[in-house]
Amino acid sequence: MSEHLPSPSVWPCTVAGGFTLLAFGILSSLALSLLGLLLMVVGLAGWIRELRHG
Amino acid sequence: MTTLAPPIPAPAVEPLRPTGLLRWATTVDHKDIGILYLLTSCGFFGLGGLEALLIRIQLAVPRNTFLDPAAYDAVFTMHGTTMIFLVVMPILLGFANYIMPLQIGARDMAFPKLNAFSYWLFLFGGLVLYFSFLNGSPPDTGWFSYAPLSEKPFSMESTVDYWAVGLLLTSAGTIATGLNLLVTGVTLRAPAMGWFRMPVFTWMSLITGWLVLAAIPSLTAAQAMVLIDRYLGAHFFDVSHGGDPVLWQHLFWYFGHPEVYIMALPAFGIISEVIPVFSRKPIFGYGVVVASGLAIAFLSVTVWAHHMFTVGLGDVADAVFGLSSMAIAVPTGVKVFSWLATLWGGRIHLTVAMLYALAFLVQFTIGGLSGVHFATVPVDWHTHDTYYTVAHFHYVLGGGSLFAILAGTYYWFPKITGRLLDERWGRRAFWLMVVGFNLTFFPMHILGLMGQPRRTYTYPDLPGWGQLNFAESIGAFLMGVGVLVLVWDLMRSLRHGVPAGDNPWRAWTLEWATSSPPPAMNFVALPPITSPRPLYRPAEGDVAEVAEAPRDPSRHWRAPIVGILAFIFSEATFFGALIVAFLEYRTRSPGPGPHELDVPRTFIFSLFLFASSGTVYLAERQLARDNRRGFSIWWMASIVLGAIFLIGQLTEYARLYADGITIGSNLFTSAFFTLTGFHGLHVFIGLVALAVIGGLAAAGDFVGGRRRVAVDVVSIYWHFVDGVWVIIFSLVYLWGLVA
Repeated sequence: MSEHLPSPSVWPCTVAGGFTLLAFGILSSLALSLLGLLLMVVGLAGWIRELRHG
Repeated sequence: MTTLAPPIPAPAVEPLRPTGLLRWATTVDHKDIGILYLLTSCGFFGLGGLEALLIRIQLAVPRNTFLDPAAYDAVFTMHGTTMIFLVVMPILLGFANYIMPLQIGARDMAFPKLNAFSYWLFLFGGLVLYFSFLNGSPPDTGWFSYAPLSEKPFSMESTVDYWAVGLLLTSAGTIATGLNLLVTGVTLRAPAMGWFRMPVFTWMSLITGWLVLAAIPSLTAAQAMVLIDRYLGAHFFDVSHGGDPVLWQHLFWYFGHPEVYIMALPAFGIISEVIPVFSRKPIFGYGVVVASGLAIAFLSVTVWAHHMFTVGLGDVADAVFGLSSMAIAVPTGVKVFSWLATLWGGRIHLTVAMLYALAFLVQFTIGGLSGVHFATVPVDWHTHDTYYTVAHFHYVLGGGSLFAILAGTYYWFPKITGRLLDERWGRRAFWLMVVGFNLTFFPMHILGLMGQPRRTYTYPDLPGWGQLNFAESIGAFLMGVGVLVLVWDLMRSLRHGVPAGDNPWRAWTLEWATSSPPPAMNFVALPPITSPRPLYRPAEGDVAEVAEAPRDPSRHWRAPIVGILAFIFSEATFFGALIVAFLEYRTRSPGPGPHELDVPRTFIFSLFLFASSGTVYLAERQLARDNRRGFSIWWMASIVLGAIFLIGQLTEYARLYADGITIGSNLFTSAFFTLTGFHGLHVFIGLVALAVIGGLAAAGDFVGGRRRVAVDVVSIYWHFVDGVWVIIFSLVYLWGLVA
């Protein structure tokens, strides 16, 4: 059993939010999709950074 | 109590934890996420329940005008969609999230951050679905959204789009949760917990995880096709261009019937925990209960077309699917007999949890028996589109899964909150629920046999119809009162309930070996694990059990590797659905076809992709030798080769579009561009992953074999993407050449 507990992270929520905006943009506007894509990229970068330092 | 295993060392430094709302937004603890699932699903249950009451008000009397047809369509669509995708399934996933790691002695799920990501996708998907009400376009094509009703000419508003996009998001979250459950059960069991020392609930959660991966991607693929039809002008389900609405039914029910078991198997797991504990007796035939769960899961992907007997599939298909549907009743029946045999000779404690479990037993059996009727094709023809079907699936999912959820609520509430629910208020709620449920749904059997059609907003005033429908509506409101009493009990007990202690039920599985609620680390120490019931104590009044031989647990599988293999399995289902559509439409319509494709040119570009698998392999070998430079060279070569393939695909698209061959040209092009386009998207994602790994390697992340598993995971994914192209190239290009 691992001795370490995972730290809280804002990135899963960020990536999910980005993914949602990306998809919701299909129904509304391309700008929303682009914003979602940006949010996803930022979120994934943060997620990977945490994994590296975790 | 025998000696405890050595204490688990506490973390050297406890990380700083946020508080308040930020805590819930950033938590990756499986217990918090389990609670979030449960609370969110309860919120959606309120909405779904309200919609049910609106339906019952409308149907209380014949020719009612309380809801107009359009409003009724929206309410009944959202009721079904909500209860299935936003209530029953996520509540069960919430229990699995909270309980499963505890039952196997783990600290958390295998991928805690992915677990949080899954929850947020589920929540956001649900919000997108309900945002449609604010936008004035709630989904109104049924929870099954049959084609061609879902196509543009018949649904011009955004209703179907909200339905598809909302469910795409929740489905993605569910797939990730299924993967997590599967990997957690396989890789994170306590050292002494072999396969056949896992509690039944954990087994059922693990099997459900597999079933999620096997089934839900089919719905995802079908929804993608609908959206491509609606937004890009393809013709998958467009009858005017030869599209086949029956294909939608196949893809939908390939997901839809296993979905029933995704909602039933964890419920079976709950019942398999509650009945033994309150009979003070181990479950009868543990191995058979587990095996029957596996059999149900495998058979559930072979029975989908029994939802389609009225389509006119032909005698052979009817016979095959009728037989497979009857066959699945066998392992289900085995479980029912196992629970009955557990009760037999036990010391029954009629707690509220046990009452719900017993009600489950009766109601689920009624639902199961009417299910067998639908496996009999001529009976199905007569009853399929009547209220007999509504009665059947509500007895399975309401009387079955929902009652199991309520049993689980009374059983695990003390573990989650540290307080007991009030048994008196619980009994009141129970009787209201039982009477209300059966008054609502039992008469539907009769009305169905009398011919009342389902999915219609009103009905004629035929003899007996008005009275029975009115009784059903009274039953629905009784259930509503029962839910209010239950909520009162939950709220009251949360503050004033009797402290539960660690193990108020004297239960036997590991979640009861820790405090209530459990600490952040879950356990200070684990007791010896010699059976699926580590806390079982015959000397304290439990009925004796036969000792089981110890088994060697599988300890060699790494979570990320099992995770990527599970992901690939779900991807295979997704591509399988797209390939089925391609094969169906390959030569079905006039106009552009396989002969338009430049096979030699695509073959050359394919060689680049195939070669990239070789270079990835060579890179891995260099990494194993800790040769960073060699790794970087071969890895970079893989990226270049993959990019050349992608450029080749894009130029092929450009050439076809220049020749006037677009996704909307005919059925072939719809299927061709969708199948190859999704593969191209996977190649692109794979290239991004390769680039990220390349960057990390340059930063020195993999020196000395550190984090090597990340490279392995991306490599496996890349080989899979290449493998899929072998199949696509053979079916799309080579077959076209031969033909």
